[in-house]
Amino acid sequence: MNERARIVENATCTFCGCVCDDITLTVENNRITRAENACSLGKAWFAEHTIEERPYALIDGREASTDEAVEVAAQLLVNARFPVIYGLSDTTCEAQREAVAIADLIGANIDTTTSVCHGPSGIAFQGVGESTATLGEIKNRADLVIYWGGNPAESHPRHFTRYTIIPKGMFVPNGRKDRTVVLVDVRRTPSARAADIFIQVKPGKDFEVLWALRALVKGHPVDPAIEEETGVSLATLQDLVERMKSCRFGVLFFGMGLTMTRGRHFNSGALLALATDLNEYTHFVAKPVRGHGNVTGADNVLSWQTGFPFAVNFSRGYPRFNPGEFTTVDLLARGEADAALIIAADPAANFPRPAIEHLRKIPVIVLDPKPTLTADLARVVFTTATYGINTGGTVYRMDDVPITLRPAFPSPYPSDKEVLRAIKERVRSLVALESIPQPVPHLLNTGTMPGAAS
Amino acid sequence: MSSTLRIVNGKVYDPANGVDGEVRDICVQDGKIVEDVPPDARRIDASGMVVMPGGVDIHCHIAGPKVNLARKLQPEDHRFDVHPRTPFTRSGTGGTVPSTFATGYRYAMLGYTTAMEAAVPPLGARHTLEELHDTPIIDKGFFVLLGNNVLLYQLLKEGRREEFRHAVAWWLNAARAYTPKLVNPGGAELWKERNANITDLDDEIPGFGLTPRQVIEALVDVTNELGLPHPAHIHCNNLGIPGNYKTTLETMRTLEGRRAHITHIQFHAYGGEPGGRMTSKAPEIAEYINTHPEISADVGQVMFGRATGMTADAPLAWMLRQVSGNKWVNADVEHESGCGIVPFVYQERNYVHALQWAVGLELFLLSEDPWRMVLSTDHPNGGSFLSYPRLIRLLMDREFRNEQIRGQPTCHTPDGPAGQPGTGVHFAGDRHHHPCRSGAAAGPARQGSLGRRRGCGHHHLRGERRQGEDVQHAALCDQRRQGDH
Repeated sequence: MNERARIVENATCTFCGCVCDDITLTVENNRITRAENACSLGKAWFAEHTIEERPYALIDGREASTDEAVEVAAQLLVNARFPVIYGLSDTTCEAQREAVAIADLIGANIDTTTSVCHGPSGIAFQGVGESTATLGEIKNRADLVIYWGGNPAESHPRHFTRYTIIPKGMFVPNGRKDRTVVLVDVRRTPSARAADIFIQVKPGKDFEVLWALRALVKGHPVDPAIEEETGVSLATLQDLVERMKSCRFGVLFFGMGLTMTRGRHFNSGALLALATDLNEYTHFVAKPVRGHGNVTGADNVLSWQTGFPFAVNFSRGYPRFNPGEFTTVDLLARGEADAALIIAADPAANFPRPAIEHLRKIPVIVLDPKPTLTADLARVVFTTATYGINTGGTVYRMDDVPITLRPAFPSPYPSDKEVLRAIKERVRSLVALESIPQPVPHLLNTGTMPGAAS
Repeated sequence: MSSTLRIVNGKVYDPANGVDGEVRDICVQDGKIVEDVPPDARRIDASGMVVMPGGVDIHCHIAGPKVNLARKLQPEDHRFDVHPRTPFTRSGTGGTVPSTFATGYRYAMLGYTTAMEAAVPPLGARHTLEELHDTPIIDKGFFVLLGNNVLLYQLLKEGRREEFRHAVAWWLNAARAYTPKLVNPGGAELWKERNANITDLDDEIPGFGLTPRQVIEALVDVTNELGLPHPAHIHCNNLGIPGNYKTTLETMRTLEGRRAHITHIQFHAYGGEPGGRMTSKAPEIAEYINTHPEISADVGQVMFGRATGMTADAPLAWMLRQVSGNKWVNADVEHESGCGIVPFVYQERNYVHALQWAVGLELFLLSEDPWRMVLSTDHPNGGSFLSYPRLIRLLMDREFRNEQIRGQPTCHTPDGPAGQPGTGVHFAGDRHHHPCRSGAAAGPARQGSLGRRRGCGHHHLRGERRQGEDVQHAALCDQRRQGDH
């Protein structure tokens, strides 16, 4: 360690939805040389981050200043008839707020990576509700921990050690010894090693297993043929139900193995309903294991500003919500958008081919700290500072707990928030020159709210 | 150059300065009301309008983790009540849980300028502040939940009183909260432990050897020692349970001589036996408050129509889930409370709902000191804040009120419809209630003052309810049947 090494205490790792905020960073010459407490993913996230010599912005592949790029981006957005704003799960809430403001100003469609991960869980939540808890509560109380359709040992390495299985809690003083851990998945992943019980379900049969569990919890008979259908024996299910009903504080974590396979929101809904049913017998909660560092923040910001968590369209001058219609993959695949603003996401790397084909045809604006496939096909590319390492702000952990970022060292590049705010200001002045939609007085009348008062 | 304004021809109500419906000018310079302004000041003609201090909503749920969960939960509540963008304002959605921008605009359009979010767990304070930041125009703040705090319980249990005081002060400051909030003290621990609840002030809180009574006393004392502008804000135990008025009275008696605020007291003013039929004990509650100037309350009026049950009282939300069968959110928060959310509809033809409606009105009208019985619907629990104009009319307009009462199921007597005007019944509100005095405005500022007493005898709602008591209704059972359909 040289003399110029600096220690950043309680730094926050934004690599995954765990958002661990107990990292001690050692910073030397604008490089993180040590990330104490971080998992293997977090260590790589911090260690590999350097400030690269990249242009501030690119317009049609040519180097440009941020200001020039802001001007072009604003013009593209204002002149579009169906602009779409997408991404947002790897940036701060402050940037997300600016993005929603832009969408509101230009009547855009705004959607986040939620629509390709736990969007179905959001839909299920709207249908059946959710009994849930903060991770600290689970650490303090859970004596039965079930993971379903996920592999946290590899995707969220500290989920086990910091929150759920290993730690000693206020009401589970012996930590691991006081807890029973179950993993349900279609294959035996490395996470199975952490579990007391591993239950292997045939692919695409999660819903059937969940529904059978609901039936057993409520005391209804289940045909032993369930084993042939799902790969799980009735005895195994009965044993699990017994454990679920007799635990003190149970939790069901679920991943994209449920939400992105056949059944989607039916799967999530069945799991949430199971957790709710179990509250007739004991205390039971459920929680989606969210992936990106601030995808939970994106859900929250969109919800408080519009009432809806993702797939929001402002084309009528007010927010509308309709997954399938306003989810980005779907509307791109149908060839609907005529401009796209992509913030901290790389759809060209993971969207289906028809959606990517359409992205190639329309003007795309990208904000990202690193070169991406989406940036390769974009008209305008901004290089921005990396959130959590170079910029402060707020992110939401997967359990909706807001966490403060403590950046390690500054970046020469502007933050997403700064670029988006500049675009917003320019868009605002351009929109003001165009025809302004007139306020609709009768809609502003508070008396029109159905059911406000009979 | 300073900005000046003259509001002319308005009918001015300014209770703090004893101005009672005078037509006169109001002059404003640099955001402050002054004696006079130069003749070239901007003028607003307020002919035919009331000019009054901005309303203060002392207890509502408008921002933070549970509010946002309730927004996410109910797309069906938003889509028929959109709030379009204008060149000057952001768009949003309404319903019982509006988006943040819509919340600010709609409060302002009601004449309200301050709203206090009433239940924020310490861990959700930052989230709440972010949402309040996006709630335009109005002034706002929040109360931080401390009545189920396991760390504070630990200090109390060990008798570390001084550290308890410091911890409360630290939490208030760290969260940037206005005052401590107690919600069903002790209930969260039972809920998280075995989905149970506190039923009595002297129940033991498992694991801590404390009782709700001890927690309430300790937090009220510390809040008063800290000299906060608003006393500890208390949601009593046993909310919504028939017979709970005893718990409410017992809580107030425990605090005798100490400043405290009892919130949405309508939900805590019921007679009867748990599980049995519910009656009104509003007169008993109102009388206690009338004779104890150290206590203030807000009503938590129920208004018919859509509501969203949204509370840090998680066992209560579970009860609402069981009686309604509606979708349910529970969200436990480490160290302090959590929340429960259930969409709910108050129905005019439902005995319990109609009774709750009447209990709220009774509390308003029986209160001799409106400065200590503040107008609220516990938005959105009893109904949306958008129903305040209707509620104010219910309090101020006897004809309208009687018309509404005639529509209620409990109010039919052998002698015909109740509440006929001219029966000699005297309402406190008939001559004296106006928007300011109905507790919408300035009430909070004057809490504790013994100022304006005005007489009111018994009124017909009381008599009618006695008639209602003879109607055999098993309230919660009725609802359960509905839920099963």
